[in-house]
Amino acid sequence: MKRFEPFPILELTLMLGAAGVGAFLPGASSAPDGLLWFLAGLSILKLSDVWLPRGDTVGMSSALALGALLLFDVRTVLVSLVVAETIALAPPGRGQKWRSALPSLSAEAVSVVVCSSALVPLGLHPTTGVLLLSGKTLRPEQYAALILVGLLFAALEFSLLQVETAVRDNRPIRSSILGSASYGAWLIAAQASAGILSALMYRKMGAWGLVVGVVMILIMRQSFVLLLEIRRAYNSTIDVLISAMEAQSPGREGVAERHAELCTRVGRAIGLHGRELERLRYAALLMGVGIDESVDTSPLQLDARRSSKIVEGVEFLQDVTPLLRICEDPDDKSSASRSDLVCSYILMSAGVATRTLNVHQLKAIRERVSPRIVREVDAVVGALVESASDMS
Amino acid sequence: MSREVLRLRLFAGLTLLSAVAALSATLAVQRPAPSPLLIALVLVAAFSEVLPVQLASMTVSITTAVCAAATILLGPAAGGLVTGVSAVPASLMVKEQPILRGSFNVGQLTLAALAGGWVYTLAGGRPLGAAPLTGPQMPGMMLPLAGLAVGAFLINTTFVGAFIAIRSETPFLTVWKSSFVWTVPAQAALAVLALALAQVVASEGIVGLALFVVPLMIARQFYERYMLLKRTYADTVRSLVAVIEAKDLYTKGHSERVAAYSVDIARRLGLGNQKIERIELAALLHDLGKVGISRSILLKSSPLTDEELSAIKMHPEIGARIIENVPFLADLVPLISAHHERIDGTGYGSQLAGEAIPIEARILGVADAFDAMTSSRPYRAAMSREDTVFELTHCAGEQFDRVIVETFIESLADGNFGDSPPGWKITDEAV
Repeated sequence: MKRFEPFPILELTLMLGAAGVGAFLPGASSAPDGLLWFLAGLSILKLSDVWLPRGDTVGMSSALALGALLLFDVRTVLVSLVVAETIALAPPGRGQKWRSALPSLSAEAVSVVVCSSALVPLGLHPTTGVLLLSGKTLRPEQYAALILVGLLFAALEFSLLQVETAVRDNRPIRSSILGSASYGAWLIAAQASAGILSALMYRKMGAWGLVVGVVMILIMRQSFVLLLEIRRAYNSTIDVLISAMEAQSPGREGVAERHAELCTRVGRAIGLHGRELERLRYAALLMGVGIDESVDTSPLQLDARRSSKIVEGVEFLQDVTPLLRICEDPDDKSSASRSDLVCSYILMSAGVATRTLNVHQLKAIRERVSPRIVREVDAVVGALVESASDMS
Repeated sequence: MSREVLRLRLFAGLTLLSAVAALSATLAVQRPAPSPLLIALVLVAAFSEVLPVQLASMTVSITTAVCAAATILLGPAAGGLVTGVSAVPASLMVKEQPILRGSFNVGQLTLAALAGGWVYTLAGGRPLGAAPLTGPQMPGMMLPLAGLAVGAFLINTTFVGAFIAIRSETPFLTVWKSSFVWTVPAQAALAVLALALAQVVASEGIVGLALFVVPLMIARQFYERYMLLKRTYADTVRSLVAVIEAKDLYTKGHSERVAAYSVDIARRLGLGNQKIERIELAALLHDLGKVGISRSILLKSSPLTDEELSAIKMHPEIGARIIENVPFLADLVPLISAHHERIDGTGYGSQLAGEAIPIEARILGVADAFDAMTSSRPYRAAMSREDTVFELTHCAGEQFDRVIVETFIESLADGNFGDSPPGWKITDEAV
């Protein structure tokens, strides 16, 4: 089924707003020295941007955009970003279009404009970067100011990307930002360091200095890509093996996938974020792996019996085990985090709704979850099941 | 105390003594002045050394780059000093035989840093601490940098390779080829990183060091998580495959045993770590295609009809089709689809013959047949190990690869997989 893609009105507004403000800021009358090198670096990094499974990117090029901001005027940087994006989108076969590039580009553009304004109160030149291009040794407070601007730039760009993604996917903005905070903080620090370093090294070594920054960013990119790839490998392997398991039992094909899909939708609607959604999905897929067919009379009556035992030895699924344990024994009052209880309640509600669990299993856990969450989850599950039956 | 431990202790002691002597001699020629930069380099190197990333059988950290940067900035003596001192905290944290391994590591790392430093100097490299490089000077740095990387790499891998060879009683060259050759690109990248770090520090001082190290530490975080997940991937597959097999009493544990046999054979044949990892996964998944075959056929106790036999013969292909949907496993497709091929070309699948069958599939074939014969099936009881070995040797050269059968029987005779009858030896007659 083709997914409806809304017109990227937020991204376009941000982009045009940044361009409008940038047009009023003072700029250089001609292209500054070294711009071409920066353009080449930006294009290489934009070509290397990492596309996340949810459709947006982790902008590896932002660090160099920050470096350019510290050296050139705002208008030059904005034009460079658009040119580099065009170059990066040009190669045939990349499969990326302007629509998909807009979120990161607009986030970068807004961050460039905002941070160029921040350079003034911090005592750095706002447009021409005279301080850095002068080649003078920086004082400690000037280093501190640079680091502050770098962090502001990277944090703003990262947060804007999260907001755009949340708006596009109709998810709560706050939880989207908080949910990505754990890895976001690392990326922000890394982007700020690499960006400042690029500017500092460029003023001492010219294009060779830029190579240092680009190589550093590419090293980060490579390790991030490897991590994403192995996570995708786990994801598809678990999907395939669960399907294989279900293929052994007539009547059970697709049950886990349907359960997982409903759980993910409910979780997203009530504001769960990245890893929470992921573990909810894995828990739904794996709930049935422990079924003993010689005991179960009905093939559609899933439960988590023995499933937690099977999963607990798997490092990647460590945080899935508590959810399965709660579903296994909802009456067990041993300590469980609020998040564990909420996820387990979604798992069981979705299980009842897809007729894979008995209602009585839900009652015990309902008492342990806050009434607000119960209301929210019940409402979303009800609405989703109703719309599914309307469609069928 | 065993002879092996004695030899290791002697080797470690001599390594440490050599390092102390070499460092003292270098310091006598060129003593670096104590400075905040030297202390900062030691601290960063020590910090990154206690946070290494675990690779197959060894660890890597960005300490190599930091120590090489110390050499490029301040000369060979500073490089040796930073390396030696920064290796001490990590050595104290070694759990198994801390004194032996710790003293060996401190010694060999110091020697490697000093060797790299001296090659760098002899090749015309100058300490950048005095003045950073300008752009045009950069190409002239390539030869000294390559010298530094090669010198340090050769000394480091020679000592570590010798240590592993003594401990595992494996020929040195085998260890060296399988453990270190594949790390050459990473070592080259670390050398470039070291030059960049040295240049940044020469230009911007300690702030430059901090700005440089932050992205590297973050890259390390991502990479460490990746390695952890990669290491535990086979466990995840093992757990889920075990659930699939548990539904059939006769095949319970089959894939896990085939994986154990296959990994052992691959090791004995001297295959590389990456190939061994893939063989283990292929073995765990080799019978996945059986989920597409009716259980009434799989569990049938009477002879199979031609039609049923044809259905059974489809399982390698079905398995291959299932896993080709997983990009990470796509390279296992030829191994799984060929695990029932025969050396004489009359097997099932694509009727490949001899060397055209991937070696991994030939290994799987032997391991799979051995486990199938020694396990009970609905239509027959388990065969004894002696009868199974006789059957394998009888079919070697026609159904199975002779060398692989020979290697596997050797492993069984060593008692690797339970008790073996006394006197099992590989003879020309037997194979």
